[in-house]
Amino acid sequence: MTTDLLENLRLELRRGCLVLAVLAQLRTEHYGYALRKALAERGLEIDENTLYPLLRRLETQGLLDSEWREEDKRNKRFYRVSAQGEAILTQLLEEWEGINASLRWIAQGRPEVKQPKGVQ
Amino acid sequence: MTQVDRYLETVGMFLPERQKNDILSELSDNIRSRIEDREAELGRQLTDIELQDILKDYGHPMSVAGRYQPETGGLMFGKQLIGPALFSIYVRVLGISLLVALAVQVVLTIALELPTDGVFARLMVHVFMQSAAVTLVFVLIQRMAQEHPDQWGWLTGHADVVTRTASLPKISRLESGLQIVLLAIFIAITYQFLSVPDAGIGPFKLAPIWYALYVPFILSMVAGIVQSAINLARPNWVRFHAAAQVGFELFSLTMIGILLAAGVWVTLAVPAEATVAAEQKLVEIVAYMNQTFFYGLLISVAISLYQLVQNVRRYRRLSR
Repeated sequence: MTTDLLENLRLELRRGCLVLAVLAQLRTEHYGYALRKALAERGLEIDENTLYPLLRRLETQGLLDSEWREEDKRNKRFYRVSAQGEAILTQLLEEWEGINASLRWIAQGRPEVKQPKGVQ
Repeated sequence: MTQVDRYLETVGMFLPERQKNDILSELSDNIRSRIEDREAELGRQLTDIELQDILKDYGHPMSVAGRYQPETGGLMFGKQLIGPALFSIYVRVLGISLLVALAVQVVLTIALELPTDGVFARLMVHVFMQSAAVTLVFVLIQRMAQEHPDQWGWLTGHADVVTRTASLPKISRLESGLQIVLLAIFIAITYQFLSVPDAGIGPFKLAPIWYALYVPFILSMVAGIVQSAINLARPNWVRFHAAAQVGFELFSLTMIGILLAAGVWVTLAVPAEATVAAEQKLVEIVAYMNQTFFYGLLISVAISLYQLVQNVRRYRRLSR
């Protein structure tokens, strides 16, 4: 029961982050399989059955552009974040930074100390 | 046709027509990229089992397709109740069942000469009951899949049945066994009703045409049992199964044609003590029964033709 609950909450937490990760990763053009590998290499495993429908949804919402091109003798669909997607991604990343800072403050009981630029 | 092609074909069956080719092309490329990566890792071609493992990892074709279904507005409540994997199937079944409800009401109204002013109300009640029943069945399937993923999870993409669609085609032994049992029951019923000519069923009698077709009916059912027994022993004889089905559908169409040509399927066996009024009422009932038989036979023609085309196509596909 606790495992199920944890799993559900974990999935809920990941859901929003995945959109951010996909949009951010698609600042560089990728086709579906390469995108999945790139995300996995950076520690974010994502199931194919979640990723491909998500790509289509983001494209329908105008946040991604796509085009079919031949590569390695096979047609592949390449995705890249659109201008509208980039604008939204920037705002979402700011939002995410804010939430992250607040969460740290709430969980650790003190505000995050920002290092001034140039200090290691 | 490779395992991947068969898998994609099955996914395609559940995809919205408009996006089908696009989604399948992308899915095909993704699966093949993954296979190539795995082959490069191992330095050899994948075995059938390893290929199946990759497809299993993608999930059941119905579940994969379910995730691509478009948002369906007012029906979205169903997606919560039934789950995304089964939802597309639910919408299709609901649509077909509502069409059947409409057809049944129209046929009943014409055949039984029911008053047309009550048609709309009857149709609404029928539609409501049928929608509720279909929804309930799907909700129960979804609940079963959630509670017993080991047995029912394959419907929602959690368990291990990709092999069933991706491996070499087979006729299910369960299907063959069930067919033998059902045909044995039908033979018993046919014998009960048709072995004694002119036996009445209450105030009604079957028309002579049924007795004329008694022997062909029994022979065809015995042939059906033989075919099922062969497929029970040899489930991979799929071409034989398809060819036999074509034969049975042609036989069914011939029998239905002869029955239709007869024009009368039920007659009256009026008891001696019946009053004139009662006899008149029975005559009306027999007329209704014959009309119902007529429409029933027409529906059977449509179903048999559809099955015939499907089986011919299946046979040709398996022969390639």
